[in-house]
Amino acid sequence: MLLTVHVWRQPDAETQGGFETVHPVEAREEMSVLELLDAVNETLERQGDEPVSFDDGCREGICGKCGVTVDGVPHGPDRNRASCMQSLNAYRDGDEIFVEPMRAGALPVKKDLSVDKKSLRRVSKEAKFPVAMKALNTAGCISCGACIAACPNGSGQLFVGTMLKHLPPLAKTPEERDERAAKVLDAADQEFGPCSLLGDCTEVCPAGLPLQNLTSVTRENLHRKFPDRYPAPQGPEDEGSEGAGAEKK
Amino acid sequence: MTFSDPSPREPAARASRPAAPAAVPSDAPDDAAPRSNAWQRTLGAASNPDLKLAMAASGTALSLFTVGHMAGNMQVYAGRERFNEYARMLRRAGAPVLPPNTLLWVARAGLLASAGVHVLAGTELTLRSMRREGRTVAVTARQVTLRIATVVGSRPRPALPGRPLGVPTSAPEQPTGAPTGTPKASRRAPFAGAFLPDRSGAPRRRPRGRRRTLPQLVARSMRSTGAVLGLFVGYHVMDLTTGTRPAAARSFEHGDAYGNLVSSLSRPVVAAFYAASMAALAGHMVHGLRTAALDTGLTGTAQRVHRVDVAAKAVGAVVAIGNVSIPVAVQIKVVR
Repeated sequence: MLLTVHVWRQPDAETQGGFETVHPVEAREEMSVLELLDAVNETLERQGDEPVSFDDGCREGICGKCGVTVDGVPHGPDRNRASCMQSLNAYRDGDEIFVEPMRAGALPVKKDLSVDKKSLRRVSKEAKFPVAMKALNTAGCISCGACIAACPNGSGQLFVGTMLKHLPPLAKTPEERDERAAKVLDAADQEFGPCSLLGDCTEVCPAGLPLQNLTSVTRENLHRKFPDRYPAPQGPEDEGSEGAGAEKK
Repeated sequence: MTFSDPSPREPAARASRPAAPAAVPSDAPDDAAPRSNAWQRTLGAASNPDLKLAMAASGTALSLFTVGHMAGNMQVYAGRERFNEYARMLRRAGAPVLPPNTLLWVARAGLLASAGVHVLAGTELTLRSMRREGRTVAVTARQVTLRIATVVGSRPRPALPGRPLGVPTSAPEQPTGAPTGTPKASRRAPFAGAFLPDRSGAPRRRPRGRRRTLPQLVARSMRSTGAVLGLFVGYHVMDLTTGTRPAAARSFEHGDAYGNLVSSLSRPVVAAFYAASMAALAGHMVHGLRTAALDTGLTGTAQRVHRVDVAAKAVGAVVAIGNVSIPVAVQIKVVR
């Protein structure tokens, strides 16, 4: 099928960008979004233009490097898949596609479709980087940043909550555990916005992280503020106090 | 930014932002000379989860009030004497010990404080989320007005003589004589995509299979439904508590709660406004209770997320349906 692709061009972080229309782009339904961008670059090179730059990695959905926004949806039209694992099943011959970088204050654009994902790393570093990576690996999070891009508040609570959920078993002492959690909470507050439980993050997350991971952030915060009333969550198996309907009268 | 940024919490790493032309140059004055005012010292100093806790606490208090208010309202079906006696009881609560109206004013002060905390914390959280997304108040306001204008411009209009029914289009008119009886079914997003995020030229239309459902749209309309509720409460107090004309009915009489209610809700426009406000209340409460459960750490497992969801929907539906039944009953003369 032949598609018209409107692709975001932005020479650098400071300059204002805009959409550039690329036509025709020869695509097949089973192509991923990154393969579509390869096809876009083929067309651009044929037309003598500079190819569009985008984040590219393993193309197996496990490195978390890639990620663009397709028609307003981070990663692309399929749920819970990284850009490199998407398909173009949602599109028909002659359709137009808008491809832009992931949109979030915490993910500034570097060039064209490529974004700076250092904010995720800055939050991870607060929990001792190897430990944070281990926690995220255990949960399956690949730190792709799609949850932040999907959130209209720019909140990374799915990422932060997942990390906090899996951090406790990796600490040697309760003090170490509390200190790491507090540092992560502070860093997340600096980098990301507040969570409104809209659930857009869980629709785009390539790891399919569940909505209840958001709760880890609030539980850690409650434990930090009222350590006596709220015991420290002890890890992914610790489900917290019973009483889901307590406040519902 | 075109609004004065009240918060000193701007991360230094955020020197440049994507696709927000107005946002880039303006952080400098804030960073250079951080001003300190009351807003900054109170709301600005609180962390996001703490502000969310304040929202949850005040929102839960207001939700409990709406539940109790609805239950009290149901006595309208028990007749005039019973309802007016209930109204007198509210004023005289704690009577032998306390002077009349004491508990009433305590409750009013508590509700007012809750509403104030709720609005202030919500404002600060909204400003923060806008900053994190690299948006400004001015740009957002422009987008919102643009969207409202788009919706108003493309609303389905009633058929008048000489004007075909349906959504007016800017496309060339169909040749006269074509069947015009039914509006053309369009498969666009609800409300003409007005609630979809505007990304400066990016498409409004999300891909197939990823368009937002009505519950999702309601969940992201907390600020709009909250504004509707604020206006509604103002009107409701003027209508049935203070009896201020023109909000109240002409025959308003202090002490006759039942008669005031009936004469107010006999006006069809007012009844429709009350019903619409209850729809806003249901939407606001369902997502608000859900979020309050998240913010107090109750939704630790998938099962609990589901249970909280069901409970929030049940509470919201019961309150809204109970309240809506009253204007309906007055309109169909069951209560008169």
